[in-house]
Amino acid sequence: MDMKTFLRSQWDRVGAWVAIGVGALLLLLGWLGVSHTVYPAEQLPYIISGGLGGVALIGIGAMLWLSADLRDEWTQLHEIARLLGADAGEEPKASPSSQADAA
Amino acid sequence: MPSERFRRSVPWRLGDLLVLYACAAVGLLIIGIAWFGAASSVDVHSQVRWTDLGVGGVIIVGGGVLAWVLAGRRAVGELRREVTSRIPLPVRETDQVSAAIATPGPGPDGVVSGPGMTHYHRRDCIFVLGKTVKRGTERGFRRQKRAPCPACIGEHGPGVES
Repeated sequence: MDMKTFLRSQWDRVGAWVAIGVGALLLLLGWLGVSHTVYPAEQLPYIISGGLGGVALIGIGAMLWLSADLRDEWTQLHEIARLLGADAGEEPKASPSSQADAA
Repeated sequence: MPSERFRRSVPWRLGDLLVLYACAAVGLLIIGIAWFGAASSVDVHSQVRWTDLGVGGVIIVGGGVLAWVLAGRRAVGELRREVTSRIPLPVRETDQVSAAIATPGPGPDGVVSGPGMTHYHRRDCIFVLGKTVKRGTERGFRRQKRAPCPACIGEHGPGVES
């Protein structure tokens, strides 16, 4: 699988890693900024941009990763439904056990 | 009619996407504004207020993310229940046994017994499954001093001929 196909099919997982990476980088930069000064007035902007921004981006990355898992499960369930003929609107097939119960 | 879920290619609806985009955009914008406000001031008390605003932005982003993930989980769960309810289950031998036990009396097919047996049974009784048995009447088997099977007919179960 070439890179273009991979990026197209796994864009949400790639996006998740990018968001988590950028978020972690923001946290690191925020920590560096805060640690280089002793004045709270200079530290607070770093806490907002680095700390809060980094946390928000890591949250978005986690959301993208969970979305990818949910989308995969959705696709697999659709495939199972197609094999069962459920997506064509057929009535559910009565299982042999339910037939035995009805008898 | 096929369920509406079978027509969607993703678990989410357009409304879920709009909520996510709105929360993410507003939340990140608030964080940016909070950073700009805090960086423009040298008064710590004023900066703390901007920081509070930034925390609010993070909460908004988190709320949108949470709504998105929960909507997806709910949709996948509903589809899973719908699909699994359509999977035919294989017949197990225990199903037949429980069906035989659950139905009292010998039933319309009469009763059976075999050589050397001291009881007579329903045809689908677990004690005669796979055995060579002969069909007969309850009265006939009683004349042969055979008792009704306590498992499938009961000690004083209803007779075929009664």
